[in-house]
Amino acid sequence: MMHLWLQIILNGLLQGGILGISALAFSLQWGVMNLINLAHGSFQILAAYLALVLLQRLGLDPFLAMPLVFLIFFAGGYLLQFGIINRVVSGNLFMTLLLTYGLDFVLANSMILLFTADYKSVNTSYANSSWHLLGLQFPIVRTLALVFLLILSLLLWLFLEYTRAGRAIRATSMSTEPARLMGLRIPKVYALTFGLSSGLAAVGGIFYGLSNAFSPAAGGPLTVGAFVVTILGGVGTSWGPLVGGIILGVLDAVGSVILGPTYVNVITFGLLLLILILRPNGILGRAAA
Amino acid sequence: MFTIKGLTVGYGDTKVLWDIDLEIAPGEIIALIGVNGAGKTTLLKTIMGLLSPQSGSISYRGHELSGLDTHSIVKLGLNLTPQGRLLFTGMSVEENLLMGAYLRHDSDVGRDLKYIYDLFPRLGERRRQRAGTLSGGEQQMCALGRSLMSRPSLLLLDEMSLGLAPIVVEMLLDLVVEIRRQGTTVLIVEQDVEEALRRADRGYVLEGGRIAMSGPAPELLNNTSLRIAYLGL
Repeated sequence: MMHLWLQIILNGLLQGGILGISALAFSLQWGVMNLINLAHGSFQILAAYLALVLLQRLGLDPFLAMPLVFLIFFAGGYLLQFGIINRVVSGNLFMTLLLTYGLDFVLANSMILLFTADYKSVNTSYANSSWHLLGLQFPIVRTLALVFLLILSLLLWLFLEYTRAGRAIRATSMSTEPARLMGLRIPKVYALTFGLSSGLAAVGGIFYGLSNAFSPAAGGPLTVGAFVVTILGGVGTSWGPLVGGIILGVLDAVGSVILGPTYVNVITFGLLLLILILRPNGILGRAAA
Repeated sequence: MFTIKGLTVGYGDTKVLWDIDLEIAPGEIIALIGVNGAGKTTLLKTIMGLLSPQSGSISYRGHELSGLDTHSIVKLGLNLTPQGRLLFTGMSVEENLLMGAYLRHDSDVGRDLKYIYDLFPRLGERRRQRAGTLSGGEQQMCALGRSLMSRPSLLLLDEMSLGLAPIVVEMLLDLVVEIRRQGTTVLIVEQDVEEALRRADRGYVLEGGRIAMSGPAPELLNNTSLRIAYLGL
């Protein structure tokens, strides 16, 4: 019995990896540009389809395809921000919500046209296999997702803290006027940020596609998950997605066993409500200066 | 070398500056004086490309600045230490200073950092501290240091003395004279009219968005109406 619970908690912990990578992307663009990207989940599903196509057509393993998919999404995100989102991003929050909501529609429906509305999965030889350790099952894909989340969080943190471009992103996120006075071009800083976010979202999307069946409609729940994890960990923090992802993953896993899987949303949103009441800046978030 | 001609600036239908003419020669310290709401900060923001003029021209070393973005203006050697300092409060002192050197790609940035710490030993002691935790005077030093890190040829200073102890104000203004001695031209906007004019070569008085008076600083200091209006004497 004890063993069963350990496995359930482990499953939740590992689920936190996929949630966390997704939130890493969502939190970065939110923290830097105050942009809540409602098309986030659809970006991820699109990346899963891209990985699927690369696997089926070229026989390219999804992990080998990852750098390529990252770069494609980085470029696409950069151009999207530079050409379109920058036009509204400094305005009313409602405008960016409206724009990304529309974008989500376009993406989701384009995917239905291209890939049909049927459920697909990225079937690799290891997609459903597990490592066994201490009598516990470690599903390969989810375990790697957690490892990737750790590495990506660390890399992102190092990039933001110790590089010139990272400093520019942090400075811009704090205040745009002095950033402009330093000679920064805010539209380019934003484009770089959204490019990075899109690339990270795509990596998370590949992991999602490797461990879940998905359809073009799967984007919405992914956006919601990223939203909750971001609030939980703290908007714009480097380690918040890791902490938030693990907490939500474990609570969902344990809760769905105790209360039944239909109550997962109750747990998710109950947690969101609780954190907004008790610690509105998130677990790792600092109060606004 | 720096010339403003017929500059008119407004926010929508409300005009803030009317037909401003102003000239600065290389190596000068110019004081810009005026009550709150006279348009001083608007003028500085317009020079830096944060606001666009409705008409008129701003030129620097043969380049027309109006229409350029702030990035290009900073590249031409202008830099503003803004009112209220506008530090990156969540970043360390050193990171703030490095942001000042953002557009520089030369290898002297490290040396200039040391120069700033020599100039302001307090900043050196607090280099790893978050800028938001500094005292008002230290924050102003950090903001000035950040501007100097860009190696400006024309430095604009907006209300450095606001909320600072008189002894800190004296120290900062003396430093402006030293900065000029090293070849930087300075346009200084100051509440502390007397302290500013004592160190300036010439001054301009802004009233209701227009240049009301201009001339050599000693003359302005002795001008009766100016003394009554700004010095309370």
